[in-house]
Amino acid sequence: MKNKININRKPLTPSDIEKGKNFNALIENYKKATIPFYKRKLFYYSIGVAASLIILFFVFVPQNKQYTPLAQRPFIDPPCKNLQIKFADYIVPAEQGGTYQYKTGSKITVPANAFLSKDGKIVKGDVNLVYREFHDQADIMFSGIPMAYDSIKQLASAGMLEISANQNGNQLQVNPKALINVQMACTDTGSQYNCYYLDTTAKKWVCISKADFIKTDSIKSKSISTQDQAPRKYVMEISDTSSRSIYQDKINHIGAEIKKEQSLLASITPVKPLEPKEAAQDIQRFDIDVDSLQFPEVAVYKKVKFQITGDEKNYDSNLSKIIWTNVTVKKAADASGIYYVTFSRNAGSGDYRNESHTFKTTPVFEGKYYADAKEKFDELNQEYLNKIKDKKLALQRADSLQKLQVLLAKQAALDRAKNAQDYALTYKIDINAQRRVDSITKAQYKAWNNVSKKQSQVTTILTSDRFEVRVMNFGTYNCDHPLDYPEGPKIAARIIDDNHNVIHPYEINLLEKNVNTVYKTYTYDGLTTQFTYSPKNINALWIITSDGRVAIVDETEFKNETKGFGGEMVFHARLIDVSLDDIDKTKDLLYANTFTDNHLLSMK
Amino acid sequence: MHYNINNVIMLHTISFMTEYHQNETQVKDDQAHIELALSDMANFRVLYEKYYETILHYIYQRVNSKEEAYDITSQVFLNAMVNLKKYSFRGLPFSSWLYRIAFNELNMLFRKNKNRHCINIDDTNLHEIVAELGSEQNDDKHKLLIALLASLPVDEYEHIQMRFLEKRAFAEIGEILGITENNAKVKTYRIIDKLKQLMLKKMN
Repeated sequence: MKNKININRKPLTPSDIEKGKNFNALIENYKKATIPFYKRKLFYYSIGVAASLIILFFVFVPQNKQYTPLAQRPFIDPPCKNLQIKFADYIVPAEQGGTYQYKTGSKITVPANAFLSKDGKIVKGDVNLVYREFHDQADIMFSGIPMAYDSIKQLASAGMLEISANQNGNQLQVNPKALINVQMACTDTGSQYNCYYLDTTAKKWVCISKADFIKTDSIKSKSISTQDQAPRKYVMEISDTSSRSIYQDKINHIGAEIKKEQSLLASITPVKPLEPKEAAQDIQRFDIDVDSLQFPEVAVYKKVKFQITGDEKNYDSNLSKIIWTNVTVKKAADASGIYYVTFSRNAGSGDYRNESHTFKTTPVFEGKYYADAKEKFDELNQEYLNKIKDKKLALQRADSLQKLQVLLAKQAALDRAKNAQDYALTYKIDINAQRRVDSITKAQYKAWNNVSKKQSQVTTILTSDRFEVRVMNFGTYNCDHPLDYPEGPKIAARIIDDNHNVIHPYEINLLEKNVNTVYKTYTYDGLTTQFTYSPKNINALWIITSDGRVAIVDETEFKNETKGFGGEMVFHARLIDVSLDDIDKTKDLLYANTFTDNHLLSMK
Repeated sequence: MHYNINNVIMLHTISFMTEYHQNETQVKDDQAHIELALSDMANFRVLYEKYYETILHYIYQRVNSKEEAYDITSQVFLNAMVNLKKYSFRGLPFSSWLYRIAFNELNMLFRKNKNRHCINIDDTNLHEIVAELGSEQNDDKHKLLIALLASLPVDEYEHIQMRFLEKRAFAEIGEILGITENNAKVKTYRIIDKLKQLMLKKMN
């Protein structure tokens, strides 16, 4: 942007400043600004407008905001996104095909070249074949697949399957010249069953043929166990993972920083340079070339001489006339700056053969070399001091980081404790929720105990026969027979929970004992649901609430006719804890709390 | 001795000590006056007299006319009085809070009307910015710098103005802009870098 520029504008003078000051006017404005809102005219206008809006809202707007109109719902509408039957994935070599077995014992036979791409070409290479089955009422409900047929009938299933294939994410088609064959394990057989295909474009079931069942005595019947273990206590656990991860990241980061500082510290090795001394007059000194690796502190200087110290009494000037074969230099262990020079003689003959003499010396420099050495020392000493300082700073940083790390760890612990406390407080406040959870948990355990004694009662019994499907299109196939809708009183039902709070259903599924289907109904206003049920049958409801929870109205509720809300029938439901995300466990709970004895046994 | 960037920044911080740095007694005095004003707003006069000039100068540096500066300054103090109950003492001078109100008030004005933002430069201060840019001091450079400053977005210019023209500490800049001291430091030197690049580009 281009701003307006003033260069060296005349500054404000004291009189300019005084001119702008007016505290009395300011106080007056303050008084006006702080008149309470309820004393202003605007307040009364606002009240009028707000009241009108509230009236309009209650007259015209449905009360349940979460209610999703039917028209906006998809044709296949799984009501709980986290409660879905998982697909089995098979990698099929397209050119060869293969035979695959699903967990229920169903057999999928894929012939060679069974897949076509979108443009009709035979697919080569590995293909991802996905497959799953639906066998009971819970499976049907969670699948979201509509079971209504021909607008006046309902399909009761002996088993459904869904099959499709893709390659690198691209959906494939069936090759009509090489059809995939599925022999699906089912819950029932009989001449009443047909094979249906779900046409998702026309949004209806299409009857393909009479159901083909094949005898498979050789295949052992498999059961789908839904009750492998006791229901765990469905109480939300205190989760501190979020706060822990936030702090842990920081702590880890600081840990890495500390390591860096420590490696820096290790790399800084300050060595105090040797301070040069000027050679003294009339004192003997030796000119020795020293090893720069052994004596780096000496080797940095030029023309070093080793001068006999004043307290060295062993030196005899006659020794300087002898030719010595070896000279060694050794630094004193203390920091005195003393070097021991040893002369020895192995060769030759005479008095000094095999003799050695050691003298205390100090490194010195003569004349110009002393000045050079002094200059070099100043430079080295400065470097040494800098290193000392750097080391000190690195130490301080490492120390601060360590302290910070400890603080963060403490903070993380405090936060975890606070989360737990907050949770406990929330939990205490919602005592009713606690009671609800407790009551249903007890019921679950009781049911499980009963059921576990008769393990076979809680498994979906699959027949030894197989329902055979020749897959002409990928999608959903059903082994079903049509039923009439229940005959009996049509009721307007409202559902309440343990605290007599009205439950807002997303959908209500009417169950009849021994009938493998769910009659899906919806509310017309987000609260009330109309449906017909047959008093001759044993009925129950599974409800998916508008906030995604699952609730059960068990069979006893249909026996206790409770009128309320202006003649509507009121059902009392028990909510399953919202933290459920395991379909098998949810199914356990549903079946254990719906009918007084497990109905799956007699479904066959 | 070799200085790294932190050393350099630290030196600047020391040399840029301003009236923002008040001693504990001064800060506590303000706190006492605030308490008195809360019981009777007529007592706010002391604080008004104390900070009127500072806030007026701050605003006048950013607008085009004295009249505009008077109006905005009055609005700043009015806002301060109305919201005094919400003021919480955090160990910082009361002026920081007033600056922040002024900063917000000016921002509102500039959002409504971008043309009202004004750059007021005392050219005796330019040499510091030029030095910071590592450039030679001459009239051409000063002229170029003025043009570059005028081309900066308002928020970026604000950093330069507060740091180099008003000589505020980074802690104070952070307090006024509602960011951390370190953030203020980093942003300011990023803008300096940007100016440096722009200057090199223009010179080439």
